[in-house]
Amino acid sequence: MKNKVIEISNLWAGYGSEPILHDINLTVLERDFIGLIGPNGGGKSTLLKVILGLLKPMKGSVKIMGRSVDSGKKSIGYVPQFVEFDRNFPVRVEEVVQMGRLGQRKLFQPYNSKDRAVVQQALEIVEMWPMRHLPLAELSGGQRQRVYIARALASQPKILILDEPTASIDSRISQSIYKLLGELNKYITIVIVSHDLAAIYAHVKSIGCLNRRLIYQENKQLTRDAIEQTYKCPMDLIKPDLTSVNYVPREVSDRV
Amino acid sequence: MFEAVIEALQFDFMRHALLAGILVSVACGIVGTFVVVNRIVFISGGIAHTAYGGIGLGYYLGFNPVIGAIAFALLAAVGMGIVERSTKERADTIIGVMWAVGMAIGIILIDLTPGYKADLMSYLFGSILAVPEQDLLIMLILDLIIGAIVFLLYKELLAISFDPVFSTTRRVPVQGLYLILVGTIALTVVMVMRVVGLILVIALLTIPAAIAGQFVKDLKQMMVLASILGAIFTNIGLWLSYFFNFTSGATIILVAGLSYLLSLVFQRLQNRWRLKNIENKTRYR
Repeated sequence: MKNKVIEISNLWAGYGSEPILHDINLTVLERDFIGLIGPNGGGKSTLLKVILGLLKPMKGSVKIMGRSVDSGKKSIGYVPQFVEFDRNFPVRVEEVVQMGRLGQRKLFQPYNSKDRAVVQQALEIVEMWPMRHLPLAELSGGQRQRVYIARALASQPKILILDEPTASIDSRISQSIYKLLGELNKYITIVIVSHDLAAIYAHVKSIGCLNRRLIYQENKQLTRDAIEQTYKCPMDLIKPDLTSVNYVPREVSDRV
Repeated sequence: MFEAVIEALQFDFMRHALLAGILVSVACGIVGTFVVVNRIVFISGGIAHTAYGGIGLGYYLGFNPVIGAIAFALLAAVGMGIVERSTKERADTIIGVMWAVGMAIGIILIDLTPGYKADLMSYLFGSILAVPEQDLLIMLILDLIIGAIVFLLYKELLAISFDPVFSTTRRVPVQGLYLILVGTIALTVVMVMRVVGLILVIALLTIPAAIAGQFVKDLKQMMVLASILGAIFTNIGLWLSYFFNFTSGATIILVAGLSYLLSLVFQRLQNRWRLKNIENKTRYR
């Protein structure tokens, strides 16, 4: 029996008085590799904010490693959405990855030799150790994404949560990022959030569809109902490289 | 020329002025770096102008206006810091209103104060040529305080400037640290006010850091280079104002502003030159 790493039950959350997430139930087990897909505005980032403790739920509960979000979020390594960050910000690769150690060090306490060892290990895993002294601004998009993954790994997380990890990265480099995530999945639970089913489909072990409500099965079965409840128009979603996959409903594949 | 410089250095006021220029440049280099990378130049301007309310209060109630300026600047910093981080209203609008109201309070309080206001202009336009020895000591102490804060909290200040959301997920007290940061901006603003005046504070806080930012690879280098540039600008500005009999604060700012313009041109040329190099390499390969 695998351990439950994230347990969300009857969760309602949103902004002001308007709930965006309706009655979400999700249990993430150890070494799961889950893709959460859904249209923009469907509540993906709201759900992430609740899991990361940035937004309080209106109703329901979230448990991380069996504890409250506030103490459980220590076990989460977060890789934010790829945004074109301020290119003028002068910061080196190693300094960015060190930020993953902040939770382990108190205020006024400098990073110690253990932090440096963990940072080195994290950078070696993503194959960026030789570039540790470079300013972040000199890296390519894919290299920068690896640095953010290393920063998350430096927290020594049990769970890795990635928000649109390969949006705006070309597909060859995306493949190498997913290969890396596949390696990491041998010992870390991974949750990927994406609006693009085609991008993540081949790499994840299970898929959840989130559009205000969440439809999730532990195997990779995607029913026609699930897709249609999530997206108004499944045609947008089903890309040519998916048509050969046999669990795409007949009606949908016929139309492609 | 050389003899004139030696002659000028005989005067206490000139030596004090040069030293004051260096002391404020250190604070501006360190704090200005965070102002520039956090893009809070507007808040810094707001803090500087709200401080004028404290100067007015000092005149009205008859205490040292600098004390009033420090109090108002700190209050403005905390207020604007909270507004910037937590309000759902338009933060820049609220900060703009606080800025204007603070300044207006100062003007009305000074209107209400009877008698001749001797050195009022010095708060607006600076009086680097009239810095007493005691103020130099205060500047040195403020430099040490600001240096200590940034040294002790460097890893957190870097993290909240670079990625506040990630810092929150690592349980860093982002809001509290942010208020400490704007608090140090308030202290720096009051200190720099002596040198270039309220109206020009923003220039000395941002221009050296902005120039440095174009040529460095990390935040520490940026602070050091910005401090050195600030010291160079204040000293060149002072000598020019001495020889041509210009207002010292404005001269310092013009030197800094002109250097900023030159640095932009230089960077543009450097980029073009690099691009040409890359083109040549690929052509002959």
